[in-house]
Amino acid sequence: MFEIFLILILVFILIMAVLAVQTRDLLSSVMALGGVGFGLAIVFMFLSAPEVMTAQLVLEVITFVIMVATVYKTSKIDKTSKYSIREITSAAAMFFFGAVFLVFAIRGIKSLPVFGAPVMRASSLHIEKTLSEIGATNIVTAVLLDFRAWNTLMEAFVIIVMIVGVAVILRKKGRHGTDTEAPH
Amino acid sequence: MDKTIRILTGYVIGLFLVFGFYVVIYGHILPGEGFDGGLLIASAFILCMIVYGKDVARKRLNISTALTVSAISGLLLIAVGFLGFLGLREGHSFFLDNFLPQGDPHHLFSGGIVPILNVLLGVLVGFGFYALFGYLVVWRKDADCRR
Repeated sequence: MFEIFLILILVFILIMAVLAVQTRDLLSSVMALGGVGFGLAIVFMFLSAPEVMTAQLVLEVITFVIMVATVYKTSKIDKTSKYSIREITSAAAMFFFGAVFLVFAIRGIKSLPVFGAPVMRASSLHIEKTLSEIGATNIVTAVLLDFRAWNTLMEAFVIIVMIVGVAVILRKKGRHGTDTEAPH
Repeated sequence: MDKTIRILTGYVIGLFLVFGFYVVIYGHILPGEGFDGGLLIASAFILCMIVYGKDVARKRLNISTALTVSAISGLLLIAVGFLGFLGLREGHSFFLDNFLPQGDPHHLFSGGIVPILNVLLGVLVGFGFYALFGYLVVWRKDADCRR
């Protein structure tokens, strides 16, 4: 029963992802993307990972609002051209590399441990040393901010660079200055 | 927006902010950490901006101020990392070293450096995403045509 429900949600995610790529109306595309995110949050919830679930849920809401704002500010319809004869080569390349990837993926998946039976030793080290060496009770936070703090620092830098980039592109002051300097 | 939504938002938005700061501050004890709590704070500000309009929200918290606060907390994150080089714990002097004492587990002041980084990350994410949404809302497409 549990696995059937999981498979249903995964099929829903796949349908929503295809819809998000194929729809011409960008607002519907953003909504389909939100369906992907919320479906993923439900999957995390059923796999008993509340930490990742909250992050996914809240981030999905914020990205949904920001992308709706972007769509309303720019253009509402995808204006790329329809399919032409040149697409055949790229489609053939896609199928070829997809087949190659599938072969290697099947070989890799066969060597994985059974679902729900982890054999990784690094995570067991984290579980042992979290309470004795760091003192934080939440193991995920201890991993994110102490064992793997470099990773989180770089994530924070990515966020800062993204926001500063948006602020630089959408600024008001500099544009007027360059317009008065070089009239055309 | 609607009058109903305005009144309901007035009741809800404080709870939103309190819950966001609660998730940030208790991030090393309970599920959720700085990133989630920061996004909750940002969603409270964004809700204010959607419901009451951009001018009211900008009067409460200026967008460039929010970006400055976010960037400063990012710099403080690096500063706390460099404090690890001082060697306050014997035998450990490297970047982002957990130099503070552990404290009692399951209490608020525990985990050494982890709650500090949590709060800094939460402020960075919360104010930063508010600034991102604010810049997108304030921008107009025909602004550079009319000078």
